[in-house]
Amino acid sequence: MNQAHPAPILEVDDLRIAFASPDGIVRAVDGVSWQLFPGEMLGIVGESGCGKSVTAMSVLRLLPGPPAMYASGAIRFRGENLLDATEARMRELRGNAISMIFQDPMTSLNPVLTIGEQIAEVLMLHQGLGRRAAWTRAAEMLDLVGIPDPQRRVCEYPHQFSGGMRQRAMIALALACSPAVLIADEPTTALDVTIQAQIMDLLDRLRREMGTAIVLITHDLGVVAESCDRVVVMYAGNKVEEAAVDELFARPTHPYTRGLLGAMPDLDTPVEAGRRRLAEIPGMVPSLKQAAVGCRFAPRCAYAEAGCHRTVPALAPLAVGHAVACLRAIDILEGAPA
Amino acid sequence: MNYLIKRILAVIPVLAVVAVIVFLLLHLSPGDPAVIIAGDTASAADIEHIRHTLGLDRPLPEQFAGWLGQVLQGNLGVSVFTGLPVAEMIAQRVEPTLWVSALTMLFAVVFALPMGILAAWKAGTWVDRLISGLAVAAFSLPVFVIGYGLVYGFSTTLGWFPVQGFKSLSEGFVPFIRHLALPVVSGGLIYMALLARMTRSTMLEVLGEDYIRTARAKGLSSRRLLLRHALKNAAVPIVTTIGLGIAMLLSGVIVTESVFAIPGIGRLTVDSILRRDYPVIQGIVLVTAAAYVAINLVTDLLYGLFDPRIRY
Amino acid sequence: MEDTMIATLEARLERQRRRPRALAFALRHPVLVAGAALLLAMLALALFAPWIASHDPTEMNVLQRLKPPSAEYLFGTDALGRDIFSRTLHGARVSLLVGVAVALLAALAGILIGTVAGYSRLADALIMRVMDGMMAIPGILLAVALMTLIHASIATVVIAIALPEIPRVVRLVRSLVLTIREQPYIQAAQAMGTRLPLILARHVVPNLLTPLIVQASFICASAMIFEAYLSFLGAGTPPEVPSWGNMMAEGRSVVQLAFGTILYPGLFLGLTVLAVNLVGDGLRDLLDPRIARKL
Repeated sequence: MNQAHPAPILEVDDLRIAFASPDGIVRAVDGVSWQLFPGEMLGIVGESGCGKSVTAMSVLRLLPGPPAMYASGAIRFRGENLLDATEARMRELRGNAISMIFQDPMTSLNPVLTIGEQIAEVLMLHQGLGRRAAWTRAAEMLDLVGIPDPQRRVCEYPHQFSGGMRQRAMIALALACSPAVLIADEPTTALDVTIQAQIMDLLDRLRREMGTAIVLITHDLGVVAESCDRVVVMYAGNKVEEAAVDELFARPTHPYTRGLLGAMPDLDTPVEAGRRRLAEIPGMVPSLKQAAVGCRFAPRCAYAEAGCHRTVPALAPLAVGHAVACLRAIDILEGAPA
Repeated sequence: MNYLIKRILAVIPVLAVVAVIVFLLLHLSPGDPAVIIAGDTASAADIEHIRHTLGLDRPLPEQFAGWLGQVLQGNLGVSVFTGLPVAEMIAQRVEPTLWVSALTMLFAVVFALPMGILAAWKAGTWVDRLISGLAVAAFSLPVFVIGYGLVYGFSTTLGWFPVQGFKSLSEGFVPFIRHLALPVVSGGLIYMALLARMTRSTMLEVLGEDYIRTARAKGLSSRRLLLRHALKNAAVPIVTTIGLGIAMLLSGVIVTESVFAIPGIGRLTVDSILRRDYPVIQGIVLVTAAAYVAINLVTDLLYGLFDPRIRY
Repeated sequence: MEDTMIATLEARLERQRRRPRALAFALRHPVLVAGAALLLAMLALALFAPWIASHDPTEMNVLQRLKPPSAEYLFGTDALGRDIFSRTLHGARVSLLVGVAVALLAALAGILIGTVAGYSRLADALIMRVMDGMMAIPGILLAVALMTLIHASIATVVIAIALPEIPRVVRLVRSLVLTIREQPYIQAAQAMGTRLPLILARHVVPNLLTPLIVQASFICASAMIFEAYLSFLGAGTPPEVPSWGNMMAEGRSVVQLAFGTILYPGLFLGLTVLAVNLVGDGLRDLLDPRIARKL
């Protein structure tokens, strides 16, 4: 990227998360780094089980501690390593400086508390607002996320809201304290396609209005293409490629990224013009119980050669802001056949 | 409103079945009902007289209709031993039993809820194991063994509480409580264990829900998370258990009264067993079943307080 | 640094993997194993009671009434001068017999009635109303009412205790049958023309067994306590049977003088019930959690 970036607001640095299961150690996240800059939207893309949600949860330290998790590396928020922070400090940050919204709005809101109570609670906790002020602000937040008749809706319970409306309410809840960072974990996956677009537009508008930086975790490259500035592609606990959105779509390099793009329907090409068949990536996500000896993707990769099974590929810069972890990156860019 | 009426109407078949069971127990059991009701000391003439006055020589459905009509008017029959109306005998004994039951319930709920919540919050730790272990242990001891153990320790040895008896509240609060303390603890432990186990498992389930993760992501303290977000969601199953467990509580109270010589329904039951006084036992069964049904009706109606999705 | 920690974790897992099978099982299911061990010990005491006991459990000795524990009388003597230790050992036989018999009876009746309810809509409505009515009567009172009407013996006590337990088994069986009958393999069997009795015997009942065994172990535990309650209230096994309940019922009048008359049978009853409850809890944890929730 050309312009000099300010300091990152959130930085994940060589994060490793492993947890013990009865039949072995699962390396859910195996040395992942990325940076989030103020006001941008960063997409983290990958199949389920690639470690993207685990990374997201670990930013707020919401992973269950014992019996399972063990982390190394650092997660720095404004320079402060969150992995070293006390639980009290984390509570100060959660919902206040860093917020999170989750995949399923049907189950992520407490069914026995009104929407207003749930939003007002976070305002009273972090902003020191009184009950009345917090409720007024809660109604304003509902208005901001486009829920009609907020004065009445604020007194209603989640079951009285539709799915899309609930996700709007979740967003209102997450943004109530104007956080610096919002982590959105598959925010549109559980919603209808038309609602998905509305929610993404809403997130995009709010980040511009409020200056909140967003980490968007998704398996859907289409969603990324429309709203993100940069993308990190994850596979089996590793970052395999990172680039600005336009660059990634113009020159996808890692075979896995290419596979994801191939698996995405190409709606712009009319069917008559010979829209190609959706490609799928053969094989299964590998077990993360053994330490990697070669490229994790090699068993499923059409470009793999002998070396790929022996050497773990390092992340190498390809262009400004574009890095890829693939031994055959140059060959692929030069148009080597699969 | 619809639900409310439906729920109240649903009580009728349950009570009807109870009445049929109680009626059939007497009439289908191997002995001659007239002999059973007359008691062991009755002469042949007495038995014949009872058979005729109670209409035991008429067909069963007719007998049932007549009996049910009497029961619905509050006439539960006459004791074989004392000759007094059963309803009157039960009414005389109801006060101590009500006090013991109410205080036992209060005691059990007050201790069981925090224990269950704590065990769920600390699941897998020694705190959880201790609480769960105590609950299983309480399940495994008969009420009267706990009762006599408490009497032996706190009354006979330490002399802190009276060994037995009952003092009405009108005789002063302190003697009232001193007489009830041990019965309430011994009768309440098993009910407490039931509630604590149920609270623990319900809370564990709730704590795994997505909205609890949301609440944690909001930066809430553990206390607020447990008491505001989790407990309110766990309330409906817990209240259900409190209601259903009443049957267990009443069983415990009946035995406890016998241990502590409290002149309540339990004592009346034991006396009636010794006298083979079936009409009284039948009356007690009907009254406690009605109480059980009424309490569970109330707990069902309480659901709406805890869960906004339930509307009457 | 993280690699050394992962290595430590892996070494620990490896050690766990190398443990002997039996030890590994015991460490993973401590509750079940502890309960089973305790239960086996109690079964052994019951089985070998005639050889372990120091006295005839019914032998009275007026000169040795209400004696404290001694070398001759390990647990002391009761109001009739009988040896409490020997009576306690023999009491184990009665209690375990009653517990197992009640569990079997309730389970069999439950399978029968519950399967009918699960397969016939018409019978279901009727059966479940009757079960609701039975559950509204506290179990002890239903048993007491029955016992005042019939001649007291171990068999009648078993029936009186089993009767109030039946509704809970029926509910469990019915809900399981309703789930099982919708399973694809049952529908496949039906589609191939397998007749209902064969489907029930081959597919439905075997699937009921595991959860029923858990339920039956809880019934067994509570039946032993119920036997004691009935004896205590005067509606239990005939007084000449040396059951723990009868021992404690007789001990009531002398409990102030000789606490042992209630303590020892109570303690053994408690340990036996605890063992059965632990086995039940352990088995439930072994089960599929979705079924476990119905228990």
